[in-house]
Amino acid sequence: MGKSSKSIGIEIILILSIIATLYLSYHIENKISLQKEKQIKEEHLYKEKVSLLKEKEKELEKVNATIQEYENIEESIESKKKEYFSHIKELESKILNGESNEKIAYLTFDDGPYYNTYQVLDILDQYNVKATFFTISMNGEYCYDNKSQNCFLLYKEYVKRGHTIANHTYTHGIRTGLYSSVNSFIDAVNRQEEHVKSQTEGYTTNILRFPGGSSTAKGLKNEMINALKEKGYGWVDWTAGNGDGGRLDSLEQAWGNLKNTIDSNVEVILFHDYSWMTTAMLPEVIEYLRNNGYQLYPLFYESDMVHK
Amino acid sequence: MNKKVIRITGLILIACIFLLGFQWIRYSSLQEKENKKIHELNSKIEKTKKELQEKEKQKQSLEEQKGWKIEVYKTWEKAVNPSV
Repeated sequence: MGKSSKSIGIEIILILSIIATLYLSYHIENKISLQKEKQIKEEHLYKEKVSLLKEKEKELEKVNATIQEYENIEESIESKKKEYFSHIKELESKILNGESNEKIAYLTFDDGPYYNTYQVLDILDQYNVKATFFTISMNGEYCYDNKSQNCFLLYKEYVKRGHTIANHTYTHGIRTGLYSSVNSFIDAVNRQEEHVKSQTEGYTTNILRFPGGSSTAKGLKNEMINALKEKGYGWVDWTAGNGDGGRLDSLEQAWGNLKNTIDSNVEVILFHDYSWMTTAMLPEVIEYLRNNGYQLYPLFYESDMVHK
Repeated sequence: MNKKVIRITGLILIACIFLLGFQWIRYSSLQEKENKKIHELNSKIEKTKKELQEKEKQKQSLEEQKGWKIEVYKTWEKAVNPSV
């Protein structure tokens, strides 16, 4: 084989190799383009997956926060209540200082739980209203007038629905020696406090309404108030009401009483759970108050309407 | 003359081989990067989903344990933030 034909052979091999590498490069380039196209599609998918991940992470964060709240449930409830009442306190202070034209009405119900308290609670729920219940227990386990219903179950119901349970003494015994001495009065307060605690797994009352109103305590009123203070209690009478604690001949009369007594921007309105008239007029009362600019809240210890 | 042609062709071949190598590196790194990215994301999603499931179970058992207190909490949570 001559020298030149050997060179030609090498030359051909080199050229073929060049063609082969160029072909492979071209093939890879095609693959890269395909990969890039795929990448664009996957970019979209990736974005979707990222947002899904973010969503799941947010959900997880929420669940973690809830678990944390649940683990310290008592503290969590207290902190939510504190937040809720601090807002009302702020508003109430502004109103009482003349810095706001808004109005607050505290609906209060005395002498329950009673057989128609469920109805009262349902109406309040229906209108998204939280109120205050000054409770007694002299009716015993069964609701007055309705032996089939366990009234003690209502204590948990008050708490569950966000109402304030307040103390109205265990016996309400105005005619059976409640006000005969400070001791008998405080004893009835303590009994009711313990009773509420036992029925609600620890709810502690710290607001009291004297049965019959504070003036019924007469000469011992100040001593009783001091004893209450020592227990960390505040007390409250009322500024308005429909007169359902006394004799009412008609709904018109109840309405008249109510409208005649509502005259200020912060009202504590007295009702009784047992009054069928109150239950009957309650939806309209709520609407009437709201139409007249009142916001309806449950009482709380820090309220200026609760004397300390 | 022949030697010169062979040398030039050889150089062109070397350049072509470099080009091929470069293309291959580009392709493989592109593929690896993409696969890795998606794979990491998928495993992250799976992990979060699993954790979420476990936490939901934990939440449920807490709800059973704490019973009505949870309802009380929910009432106040709603009172503070009505949109909840």
